[in-house]
Formats: sequence, C-alpha cells, structure tokens
Amino acid sequence: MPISPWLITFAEYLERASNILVLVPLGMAGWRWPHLPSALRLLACYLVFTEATLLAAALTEMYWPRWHLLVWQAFTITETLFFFRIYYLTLRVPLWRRFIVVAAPLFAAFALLDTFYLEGMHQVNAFTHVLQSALLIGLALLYFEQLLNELEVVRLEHDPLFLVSTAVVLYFSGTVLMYVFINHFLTAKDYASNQVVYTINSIVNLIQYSLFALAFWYADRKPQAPVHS
Amino acid sequence: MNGWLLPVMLATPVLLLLALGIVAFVLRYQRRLLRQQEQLRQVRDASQQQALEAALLAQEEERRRIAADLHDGVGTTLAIVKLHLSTLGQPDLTQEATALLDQAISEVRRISRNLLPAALQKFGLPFALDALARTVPADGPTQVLIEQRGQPRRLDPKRELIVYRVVQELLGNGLRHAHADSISVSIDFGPDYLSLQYLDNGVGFDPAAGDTQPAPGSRTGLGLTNLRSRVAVLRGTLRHESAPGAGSRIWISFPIPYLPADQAPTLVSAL
Repeated sequence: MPISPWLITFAEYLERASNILVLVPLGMAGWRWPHLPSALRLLACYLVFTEATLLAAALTEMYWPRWHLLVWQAFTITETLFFFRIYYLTLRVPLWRRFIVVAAPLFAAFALLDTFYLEGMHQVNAFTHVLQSALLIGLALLYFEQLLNELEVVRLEHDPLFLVSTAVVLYFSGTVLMYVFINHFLTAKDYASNQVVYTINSIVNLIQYSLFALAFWYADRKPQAPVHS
Repeated sequence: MNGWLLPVMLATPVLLLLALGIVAFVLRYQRRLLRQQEQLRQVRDASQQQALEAALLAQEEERRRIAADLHDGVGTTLAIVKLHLSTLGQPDLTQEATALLDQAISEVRRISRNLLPAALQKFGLPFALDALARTVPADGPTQVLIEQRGQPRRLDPKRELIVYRVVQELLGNGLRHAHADSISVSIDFGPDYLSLQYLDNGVGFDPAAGDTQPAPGSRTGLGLTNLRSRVAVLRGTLRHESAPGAGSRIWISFPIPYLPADQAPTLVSAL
C-alpha cells in the first residue's frame, strides 16, 4: 500500500513540532524552578539532557555516522536511570524503593550486555527498549497504586507526578512496539515507512511534553507529598 | 511499504488506548474511593453526633430523676419533719431546728430547680431565660444582662433544654471565672435560627491554651469544650474571641425549626 506524499510531509512537520514543543515544558520548568520539588527538578534536568542528546546525535550522525546509534543507546540507559531516580524520590513504600535500587544497576548491566553482545552497537537495542518500557510503566503503575492507597490528592489531574506518570505510561506503551520492529524498518531503507513510524514517536512525544508542561504548571499550585532523599 | 508497518500501526493505537484506559480507571477509582471515604466520614460524624446527643440526653434524664427525687422525696420528708416539730408545741425548743429545716428545704428546692428548671418546662425558653437572669443578685459584683431579641417562640423541649443549658453554662463560666464587671448575653430569635452572643469585660483567656494544664489562678477556655458538645448536638456553630485581660466574646448560632403556635407545649396548669 503506497503512502501518500502529504502524509510524509505531515510526518516531517510533526517530528519538527515535537522537537520544538520540548521547549514548552523546559520554559515552564525554568519559570517554576524555585517551587519545583526534587523529582520535578530532575525531570527538568532530564529534558535538558534530552535536548543535549538530540544535538549530540545530530553531530555524531554528521561526523561519525557509524557510531550514531551508540549515542541513543547511552541515552536510553541514562533516561531510564533519570526516571528511576524520579520514582525513587516519589515512591514511599520501602520495598518499592529497594526494588528501584536493585533494578537500576541490573538494567544498566543488561543494556550494556545488549549493546556489546546481544544486539550490538550498530542497531537499535530493542531488548533494552522493551525492558525499559516494562520497568518504567511498572514504576508509573506503582505510583498510581500509592496515590490510591494514600488518597491524599483530591484532584489527580492536578498532581504533577500523576501527570508525569501518565506521560510515561502513554509514551512507553505507544513506542514499545515501534522499538521492537524498528530494526526491520531501518534495514528496509524505506524512507516513507520510517517517516510514518517516526510519526508515532512524534505524536506520543507531543503528548508526553504537553503532560510534562502541565506537571510543571501545577507544581507550585498544590502542596506536594513529602519526598524522601 | 514495509510489511511490519501495518501491524505496528494497528497495534500501537490499541496499546495507547489500553494505557489511556488504565489512567482513566485510576482517575475513576480514586474518585470513587474519595467518595466512599467521605461517606464513611459522614457516617462516623453522624454516629458521634448520636452518641453525644444520647450522652447529653441521658445526663438530662438523670438530672431530672435526681431533681424529682430531691423535690418529692427529700423535700417532702423535710416538710413532714417540720410539721412534726410544729406539733410538739414547744416553739422555744424547736425554733432553731425549724429554721434549719427551712434552710434545708429551700436548699433542696434550689438544687432541684437548678437540676431541672421548672420554668423551662412550664413556660418555655424565653421565660426561663428571664428567670435565669433574675437569679443573679442585682447588687452583686457582676452586672448581668440577658436580652432577648426578635420574636421569642417555643422550640422542641429537647432543643429548649440544650439552648437553656448553653446560656446557663455561658453565664456560670462567666460568673465563676471571668471576674467581670458586666456580662451580657443576647439571644436573637431569628426566622429559622437562634443565635446567642456572650460578652464580658473580664480577665479573658488564651484560646490556644485550651488543652494544656492551666496555671493556678489562670483561666482557660476549657468550658468551651462542654459548650461545643452541646452546640454540636443542635448542629450549631460556635466562634469565640478572647485574650488574657481583654474579656471574652462568644457567638453561637443554631439552625432551629420553631414550633408553630398550635404545636407549642401546653402550659402546665398547676403552677
């Protein structure tokens, strides 16, 4: 089935829009910075890191294209560790926090194994992405359970960490399948199909960044539950 | 088009929908839990209210029983003893005993009246409040003014008793602890509410020190606890303002359904 040219153009614009939209949560984080709890400050740092990685990936693709994917593999590990730390600061059940402490090095070890042994450095590490999605969606669900157990937050849609967790659940459930098959798309060298796949990524990115922006917006409008460091 | 594209394109929205479903479920479930929690709190409040009401009613019933026993038992016995003394025909010998008996009889009557104000039962709250004001000596160190505004009307007897006890407690606390030159209590019979305003120019108290051990000679707001309990029974509101040396002000308001004139408790004919 051929893909219409307008759809490809739309996909390109959408990808650019999602890359620009990240400035909205970043700006919001900068504005609210004095009122942000540790977890949201970390989220803001993660967004800065994402932008830095985009730049590094673009430069690497230009000058050392062979190592381009390695940048994204490093990003996946760091991104996961960022979210692990965010949930470590947010979750209060000691068992869940211990799980994060144990899972973080294990995940990093598996990701390195995937990079250097299982799938290699020159393709997208689907195994790592699937594991990352499972772990982060799991942590987000644990936060939902914490909210339901404590019932301290009356309006969940105004709770910053609920919005962040919703973004995490939507982003990783929306992209996990794409990452499972991404190597097939990349090896097929089919630009149109690739663009459509990136469209999926752009759409969930747009949702994710919008929810992050909302989370920063509500950060100083509602007292946060105490966080543990 | 790549053969893997279609499954990915079809499955991804499904996964996204599932994720959205989880988020929506959490939102709905949390709302339901909050609603249940609120209902549970209301049930708990209602049962506390009922327990408080039952305790206060039991207290009043016990007072009524003691008052009746005192009046009908001890009072009558003392009167009979006095009668027997008078039949001895030796006034010189029995004069002192008779005086003591008179004193005991009036003391029994006073205690009995305090325990169960007969005026309240017979004539209702407005009359009982006037009678209460008259019990304070006019030439005492504290001038007491009980003022009634609006159209004084009868209430349900249980409510009348609680309101009377509130006024009695306000006045009693003020006379005992405030060391005030003047105490004023105004009762406003509104269309569907009854409000009380208490005002004294006495020593005042520290509202924050209600739960701490009071220093000797100092005044605390502990009397407010009893007041609050009684006010809570009628689902009223209580607000107070005081500071050491600055007197006290207390505002109480009850939502009260007044009795229609034809349903007002009938006056007891035998006065």
